[in-house]
Amino acid sequence: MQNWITPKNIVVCILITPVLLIPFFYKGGAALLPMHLVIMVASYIALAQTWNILSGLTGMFSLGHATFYALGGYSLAVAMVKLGLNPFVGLAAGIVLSAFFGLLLGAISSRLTGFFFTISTIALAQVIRTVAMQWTPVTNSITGLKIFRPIVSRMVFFYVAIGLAVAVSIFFAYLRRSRMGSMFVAIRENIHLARSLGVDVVRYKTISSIIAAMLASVVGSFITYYIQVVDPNYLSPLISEKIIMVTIIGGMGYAWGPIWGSVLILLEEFIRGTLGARYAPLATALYGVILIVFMLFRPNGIVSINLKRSFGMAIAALTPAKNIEAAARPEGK
Amino acid sequence: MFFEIDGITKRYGGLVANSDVSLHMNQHEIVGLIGPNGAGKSTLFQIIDGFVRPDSGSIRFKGKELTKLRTSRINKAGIACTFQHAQLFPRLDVLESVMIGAYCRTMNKSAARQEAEKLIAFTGLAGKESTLIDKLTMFDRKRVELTAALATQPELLLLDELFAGLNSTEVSEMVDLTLQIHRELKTTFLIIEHVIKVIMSICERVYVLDYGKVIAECKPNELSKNPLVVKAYLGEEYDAS
Repeated sequence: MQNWITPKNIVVCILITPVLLIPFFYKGGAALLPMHLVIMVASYIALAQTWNILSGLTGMFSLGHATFYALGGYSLAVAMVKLGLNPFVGLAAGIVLSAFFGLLLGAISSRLTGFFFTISTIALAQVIRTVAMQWTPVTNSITGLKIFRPIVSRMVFFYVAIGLAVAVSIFFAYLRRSRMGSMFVAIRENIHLARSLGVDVVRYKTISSIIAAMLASVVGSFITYYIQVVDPNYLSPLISEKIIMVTIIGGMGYAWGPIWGSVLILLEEFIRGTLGARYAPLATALYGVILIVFMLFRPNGIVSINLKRSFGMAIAALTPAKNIEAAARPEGK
Repeated sequence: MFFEIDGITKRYGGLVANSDVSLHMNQHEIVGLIGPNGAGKSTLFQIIDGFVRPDSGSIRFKGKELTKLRTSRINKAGIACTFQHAQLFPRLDVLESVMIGAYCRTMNKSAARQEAEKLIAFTGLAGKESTLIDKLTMFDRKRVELTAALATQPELLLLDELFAGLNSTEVSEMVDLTLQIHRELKTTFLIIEHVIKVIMSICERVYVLDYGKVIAECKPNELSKNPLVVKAYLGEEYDAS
């Protein structure tokens, strides 16, 4: 419950500003790849942030969040390819459809809590995946749907993606500080106490699930419009797992969590660039190692790293033995 | 009648936790509920709070039937509780924990904040608003739990062993606080307690539960003269002598 304008937030904003200017640093086609990377990272931030609402704030640990992402993607594609409608109609349809499934998930969560809820989210994702594979007339099965759209400058996608990530993150931060956010964390922290303090648990779980579903669907629609294809891989557990990993490594339940964590997505591209595409899957193994290290030493993620104290310890490690204790001690003690 | 429990029975398989329990309370009374371990006191509290459904019987609060209501509705009706093992929001700070209680009565954030700050000062936690619950002592945790319950503006407050695990200074402070709440906020109390000093100093009436049944209802100072109570706590032999 702190103020918005903290020194840390200001410093981070200044550090992020150069990213916004990427399209102007490069001449001609050279900007396309960095812009693509930023678009992917920003989309992951937005998507992970919606998972963060459901699982980080409300404590409903979902392993099937890609469901809503895919619903957004397929709605857009089906509306455009099969029905010849405006993409915004597809976007709206995706939001409505996801809200319905979010409601369904909320209803499930009133009966199933903890692991049982988590398993039901996997089941939901697999059901939707089966539909996407089998309902060939609409979804084109494994081939997926290819969208034809007018040529749009990548710079537009670049700024829309960043705008989306910023908007969803600010929404998250606002939500966390609002009455509803307090209700969500009360449910996460202690469901019995929340009930006894008058929190209508089923209602707020459902609201949380609907909000997360609708926003995830918007991200899905955006990505589909950008990469111009949607296929059952959208429902692969890999996507759900990746957003979970980046959020946990960044810090679950914090607005900055998915933002820090999503930078890790670049790791994969970095490996692809330096070692070649053959080694790209190595990134997944590295995510795993990073996740384990964080679980062991910083279970609350990157956001919980206290720079002042860490520097103090680093200095201590480099100074002669007798000074170690003094340097490692936090200030004022 | 302000608060009335009528013929509550709850069975867990072959075990009868509450058997035809009836009790009543007037407004602004402090009533104790005592009994040996396993007598069914906490079960009765859980039934009042709506966490557990009774097999039969009814609970009426200011003429309103509570037995079918959800826990959050029971709280809105005006009953709050603290738990036997302090229940808190471990990763939240004191202010937000209390505000969550205050949100029960208001949709407005600044109103909730004001109410929470007022109550935090009232229960002597001022200065600890931004401390995380995890970092608090047992005594402070119990006070936070109490403050959060108070923030829901209850007319009836159920305290389940609020005084257990505190040292004697803390017990006296907590007794003073309870009496102050009773005096200034006009709250009615139903208290489960094992610390006999507390029962003696604040309760006006006491119900004694044993094997799920109410075996006595009397003034605290009459407890030791009641043969049934002595037998329940100390066993047969003492009854004979």
